[in-house]
Amino acid sequence: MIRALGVTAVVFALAACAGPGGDRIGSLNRKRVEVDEPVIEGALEKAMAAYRRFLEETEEESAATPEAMRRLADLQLAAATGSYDYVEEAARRPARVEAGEAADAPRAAVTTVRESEREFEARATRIADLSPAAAPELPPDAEAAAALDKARAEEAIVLYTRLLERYPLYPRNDQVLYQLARAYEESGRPEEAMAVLDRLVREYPQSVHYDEAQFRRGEIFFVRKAYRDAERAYAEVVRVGERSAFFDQALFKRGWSIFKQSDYERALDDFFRLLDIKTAAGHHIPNEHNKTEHQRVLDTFRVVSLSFSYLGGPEAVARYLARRGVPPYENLVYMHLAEHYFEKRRYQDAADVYKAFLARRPLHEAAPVYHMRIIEIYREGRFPRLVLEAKREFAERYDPAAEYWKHHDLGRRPDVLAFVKSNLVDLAKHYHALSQQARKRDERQAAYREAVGWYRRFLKHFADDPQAPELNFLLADLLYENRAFGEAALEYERTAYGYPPHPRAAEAGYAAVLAYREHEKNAPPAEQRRVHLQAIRSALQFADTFPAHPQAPAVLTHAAENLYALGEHERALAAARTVVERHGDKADAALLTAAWTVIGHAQFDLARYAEAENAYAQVLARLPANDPRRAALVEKQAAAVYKQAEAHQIAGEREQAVADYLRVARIAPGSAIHETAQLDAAALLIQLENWPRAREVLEAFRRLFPNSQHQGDVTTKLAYVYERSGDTLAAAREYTRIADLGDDPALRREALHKAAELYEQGGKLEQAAALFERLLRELPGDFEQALEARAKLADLYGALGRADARRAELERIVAEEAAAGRRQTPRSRHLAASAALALAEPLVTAFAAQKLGAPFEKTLARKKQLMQRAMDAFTRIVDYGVAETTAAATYHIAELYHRFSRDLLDSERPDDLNELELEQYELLLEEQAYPFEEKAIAIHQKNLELLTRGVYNPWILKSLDRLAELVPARYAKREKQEPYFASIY
Amino acid sequence: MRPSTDRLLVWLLALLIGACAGPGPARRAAGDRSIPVPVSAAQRADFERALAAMRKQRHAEAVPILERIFEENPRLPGVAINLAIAYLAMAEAEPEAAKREPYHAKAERVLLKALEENPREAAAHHQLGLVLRRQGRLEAARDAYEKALDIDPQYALAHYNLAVLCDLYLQDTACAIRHFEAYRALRPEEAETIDAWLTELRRRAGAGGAS
Repeated sequence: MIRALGVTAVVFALAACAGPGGDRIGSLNRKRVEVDEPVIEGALEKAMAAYRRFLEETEEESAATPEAMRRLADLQLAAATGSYDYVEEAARRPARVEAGEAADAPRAAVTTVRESEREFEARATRIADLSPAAAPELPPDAEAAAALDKARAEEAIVLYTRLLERYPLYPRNDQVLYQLARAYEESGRPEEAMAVLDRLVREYPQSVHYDEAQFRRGEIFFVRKAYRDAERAYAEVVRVGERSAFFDQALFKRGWSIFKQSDYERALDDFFRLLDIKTAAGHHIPNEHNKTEHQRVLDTFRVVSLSFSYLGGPEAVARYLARRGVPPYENLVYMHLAEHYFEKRRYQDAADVYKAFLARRPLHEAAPVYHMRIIEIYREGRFPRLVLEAKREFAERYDPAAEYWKHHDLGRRPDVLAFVKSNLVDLAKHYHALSQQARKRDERQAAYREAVGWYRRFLKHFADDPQAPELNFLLADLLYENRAFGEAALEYERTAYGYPPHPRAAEAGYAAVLAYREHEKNAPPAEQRRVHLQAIRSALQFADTFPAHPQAPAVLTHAAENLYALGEHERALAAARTVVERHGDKADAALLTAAWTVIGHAQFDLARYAEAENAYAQVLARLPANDPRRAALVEKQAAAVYKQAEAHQIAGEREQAVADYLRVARIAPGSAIHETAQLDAAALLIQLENWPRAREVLEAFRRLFPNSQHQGDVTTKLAYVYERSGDTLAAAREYTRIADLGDDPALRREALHKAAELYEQGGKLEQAAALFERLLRELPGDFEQALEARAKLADLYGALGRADARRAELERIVAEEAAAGRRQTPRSRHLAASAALALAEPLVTAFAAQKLGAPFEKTLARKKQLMQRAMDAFTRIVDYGVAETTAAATYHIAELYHRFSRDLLDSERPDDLNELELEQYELLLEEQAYPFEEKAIAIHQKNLELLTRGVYNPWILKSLDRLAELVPARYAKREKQEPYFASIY
Repeated sequence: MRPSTDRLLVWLLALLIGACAGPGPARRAAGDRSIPVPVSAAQRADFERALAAMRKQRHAEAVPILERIFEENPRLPGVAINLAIAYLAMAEAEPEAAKREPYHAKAERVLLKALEENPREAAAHHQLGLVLRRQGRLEAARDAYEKALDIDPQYALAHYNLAVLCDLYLQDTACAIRHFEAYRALRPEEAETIDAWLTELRRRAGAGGAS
């Protein structure tokens, strides 16, 4: 019984406090629902039965009777209203706000369940309980239950009324009145309920139920649309103050009452007052504990927004706040108003509200977010131009370097930061696209400049962002599209090399190369060189950094060619070498050819001829046989080999030089350089005295270059080589050829002479003679030379046995010389004397041959005649005054005498003489002979005199020998020469 | 008959008349000795081989051997002198004067080289004199002989050859007489021949110089 009572009491207390947004009840009830409900039901019935019994049993009035009556009535009422269920129902309405979202987030503030204004108003102003319109749905046999409830309520009414009549001084009559009012409401008799409440507040203004009663009155008035009365009733609750449990709701409902009277400004006062309270408690920020409070805040904001919208929008806000004072949640006011407009699709208005706020509070913390919202609103509203403008403004205002961020930390606003970035990207890409697609040229130009600006701004502030490389690339592309090639190149380079490795780096590197090329084409002349060098630098950097890019070899090769053209041989070489080494197996033939060509030329210019040769070989290996470039390259290669040969020659390495000179022949047969090399090789071989090879090389030259201007030189060299190698006849032939082909008479004569000598040496005397004849005919030379030639010819005739020809020549020498007059020289004298001597010799022979015999006188006379003839001849020779021939002539003269003497003495004796006659004859002969002998001696001795005059020749010695025979006592003295010298020392 | 053989026969005849004991190995110049030079056993052996050839008149054989030794060791005057002797002999074998000159030149060269190293080698000077005479450089030949005689006044062969030079070639009777006399003093065994020449010379000299 007591337990039931206690429970009942609690129940009543709960019922009394039930109302919309009644947090305390709600939360409490939720707990209770789970555990205690069945117990309560049972208890209620039992309690009611108990009271009924009590009242029935005690007709007499006792102190307990009004109490019991009241209690019973309460229970009845409670059962009727099903107030527990109702309260539970109210508590179960889903929380509309999700925990955790910022109160400032505009989107989240709007109820996700899209209710119309009407629905909102209805929900917001819902009567706390008991109004039939808001009654919960009843369980299945609702009518029966309803009837039962109604019956119970009626019963309660009867009880309460009786109580009041019977016990007017019951101190709890205020409570009774309150319950009675409820019972009336429950039974659907609101007017009577109102009357009771009126009585309650009139008669019991101090009652604890006063505020609730007034609140109920306000509610009822409100339902009846008696807004002014409702206002007054709610005002009473407000007057009671915040200690009233109904204060918040009363304030809210009063605001609504005023709102319904269209006195929006006054309504706002209440709403703002409520907001002040709620925001101070932090309920504008949702969390898991304040769902209903937060909802209340949202609802309040919504009606505030409504009000402002009726009052004229953001200007009204400004005016109102100016009057009232600016609350700390000023931004929320604007925000909700804006979102209110947005809900209604009044996009411009929504944006204007935000704008108004931003104008007032540009440095507010929410400013960037609101601005972002403006952009969204315009987008929703499909105002692309406005979107763009807003985005631009956002970009300016919230640029990392802008004023705003001097007051706030961008680092702490990741959401804003993300938007700042994405905004810049959007702007850049938008204008970029516009620059490509706009119809008018000025539009495209303007868009281009804009886009560049936006890209640059992003890159300036956010170079570390992962998007940066991609955007940099786009910037570069944009510049390129608009022919700003130089800048494009720089940006491509930055993209390629200025960021940590990223997938498009290589592409950017290549694009830079291409951009530089275009730049170069379009650069003014003064800039050409600088740009060209930049282009090369970029190309090298590209190839170096991105060797795997398919264009790397081509770029590098091109750079190598350029470097070479600039004369930067070492660098060209390095680049070309890289192509060959790094890309040798993959690059195509044309590139390798080009690279090797650069290497070849560069090495050549750097005087590294062996390397150049090798490089050229590489090039040639890759060119087809009929390629027009071959010829020049072959020449170059040959030149490289030639240079190597020269180098060897300078270093004194003659053998190697020859080898290299001859290699030229193999490489570039028939070329001009081959011709030169062949000659050089020959010259060296001659120096080396390698006659067989020299000969080979020279003969080859003659075969290979028949029209060469050097053939003459070759002939000369061949002549020399043949001679030195002992092939005298071949040499002679060559000299003959020189004589035939030459034009300098002196040279030709010399050649002819030499040829003749060689023929003679080689035993070809006929040819030798023929050449001397020719010499005398065509190129006699000067007087002396001609004589010499004749003398030589005479010798040859002699050797050939052509005695007559010989004699003719000798006579000619003598005659010419004699007729020469002043042209005579010692040499010509000598030659003539020698010729005369030779001519005289047969005379001696003839003389010697003449025998002295019968007839003696005749033969003697003849012999004398012959002797005289010979003598005359020799005497004429002496007249020449040439030492050697004079000695010879003298000798011969002496010998003539000597011979004569001998011949006399040896002559045949006449055979017709007797002994005495013979003896006399002998004496006579001796007498005759002796003077001749004496003469002979004297003349020989004369020859010896020449010795004292410094003349010494074999003829003198011959005379000496003869004297040794003739006058032994005087002349037979020979030097003594020991046959050997025994000591080694 | 070839002139060289002629000469040789006459010369031998003269010698026989003179009852000369034959030249034999050349006399070492007295008093002047070259500083002894180390000679290897091989060189000595080669030298002997060369001498053997020289003795048999096989000059062409001896020359290469001697040349080799001389190249290795130019400070051996004996080698030079033998070379010169051989060259002169080979020169004599040439009929043409022009062909003899190279041999004379070689002989002169080798003797001069030897004399560079051994300026006091009288035999070398003397041999040089013979060479010079062959070349027709008569005064130079005289100088050479005189130098030899400066070093070795008792050098008989030098006296003789100088006398012949003066007599036949230089027509210097006084020089001829002087040196024949000196030779006769050193070689009294040839007095008969030498005296005859001296008589004739004196007569000519008395008659007023060279005839």
